[in-house]
Amino acid sequence: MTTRLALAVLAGILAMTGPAAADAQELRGEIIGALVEHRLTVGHDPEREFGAAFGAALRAPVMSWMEVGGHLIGGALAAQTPQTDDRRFGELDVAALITPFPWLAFEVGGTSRTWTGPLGRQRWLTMRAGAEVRLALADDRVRGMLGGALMPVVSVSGAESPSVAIAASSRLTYAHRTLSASVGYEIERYDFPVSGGTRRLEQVSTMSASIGMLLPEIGWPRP
Amino acid sequence: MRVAVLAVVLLAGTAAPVRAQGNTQEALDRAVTLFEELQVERALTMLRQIISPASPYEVTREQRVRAYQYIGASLAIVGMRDSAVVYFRAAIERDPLVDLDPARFTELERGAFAEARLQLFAIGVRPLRETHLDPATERLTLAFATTHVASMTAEMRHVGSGMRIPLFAGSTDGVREIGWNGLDASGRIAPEGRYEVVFAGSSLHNDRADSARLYLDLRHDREPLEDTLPSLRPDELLPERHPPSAAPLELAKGLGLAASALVLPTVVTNGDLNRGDRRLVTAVAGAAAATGIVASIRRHRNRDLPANIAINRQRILERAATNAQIVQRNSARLAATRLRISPAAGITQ
Repeated sequence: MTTRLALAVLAGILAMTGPAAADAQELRGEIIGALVEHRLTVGHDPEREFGAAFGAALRAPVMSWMEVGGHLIGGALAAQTPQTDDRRFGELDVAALITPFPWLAFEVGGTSRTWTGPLGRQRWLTMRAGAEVRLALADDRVRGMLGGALMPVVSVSGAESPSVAIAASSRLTYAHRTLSASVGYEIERYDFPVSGGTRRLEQVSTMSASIGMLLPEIGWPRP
Repeated sequence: MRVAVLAVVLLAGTAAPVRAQGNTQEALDRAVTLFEELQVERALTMLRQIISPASPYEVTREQRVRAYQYIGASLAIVGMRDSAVVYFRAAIERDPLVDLDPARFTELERGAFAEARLQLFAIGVRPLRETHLDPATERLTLAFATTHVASMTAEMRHVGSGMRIPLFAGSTDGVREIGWNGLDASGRIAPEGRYEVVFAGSSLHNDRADSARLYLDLRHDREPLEDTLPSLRPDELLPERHPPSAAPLELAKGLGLAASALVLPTVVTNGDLNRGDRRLVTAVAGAAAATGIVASIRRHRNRDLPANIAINRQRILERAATNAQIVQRNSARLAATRLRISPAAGITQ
């Protein structure tokens, strides 16, 4: 249900940004490859899964100071510790960035993520707000980024919402004409409230690499 | 009342010479009429009265020249050729342009007049009238005359700069008209200002020399010319090279980004989860550090700012193109320039 809602939101945002993106000729598509590590502990030794994920992203400027985008990614994680199950996951993320200055951006976004294992499926829906600092290198051909976000709304099916949900990220983006490539690292931390004398802690860290290009002009109908 | 009295006095003062000139002119006209009616003796008497120092009436230069002219003609008729020549010389000395009209004077009179012209040498210049001149199609006509054959030069001199424009050089006899196209010696439109036109000559009949001067004011009549754009000042151009500190700064950015990337998970992670896999973040930090090092090396090797260089070049080209258009417009205006020429400060001889 949450995945459908997120898909609808993404489609709506892209529909709204279509004309502006066509005007700006800067609708960018990306192919993403990632290495994902998931760690979980519920009062005992941490469980760890690790694996690869692949996906795609779309980004489009709405105005000179605002950009929207989203990505769809999925992968399979193999258990790295004893008594740990393999997992598969799928994720849909939408976000809007406001850049008041070239070196600073604010972001709001939401993610729908589904973990699937032998015991069943668990859906996560998170809403986040954050900021990122940007740094230009090599005549602006390379951009570095450091960011952090709070996730005040996290809904986990079959579980309480975490009491602490934060994320941090770093990214390097190389641009050359219409092509771009980026490599980044993101870590998400979820601390759940103590329940039955134990505390559940989860952490997802991702190293992603992507290759992107400006997409050809799309003849969006003008309103 | 005082003003009215003063006005009457002034009017009375100016009216007297006018009336005196009028009397002289009437007498001169009567004398000419008598001459033409062949009453030469009566004409001669009246003409002598006109030029007499005892005459109560004012005589202008033109009236005196005319009187001398008719006295000379009258004396030639009565057989006093030498005296006729003397009076003709007096007329010519006062106005070298004077001549005897073949329709009104006989061969005898004109022969004496020619002899008078041979005995002296003088150059006369016809007064200039205010005129507009299109240098492309029109000429300013300057007329001068010599009493007999002479070697002549005529040139214009700009009073301010001393620049000279040669107008004529050669031998001439009598009245001669020369044209000036409004250009200086280099073929450009003559600059504005006051000019002195100098006519100088020496007789080829005797060894006498004479000169005459004419003054004129020259003004350009055209749309004002535009100034070309000045050269670009340094602050109007973008820097074309990075400062020497650019290379270390690139390195600092890359290393700073790498360090920050390494620190972030340490800050965010929960210690109970053993901080996660450090290899992932180390790869990103390594990429940031490598980017900083490569960017620093590239900056150290090449500090040029190609984008700024291109913008500066574009600005310089745009300025040159604008100046070329201004020069073109100015050339068109210069080509359409008309000259306004007016006489100035009389003729000196």
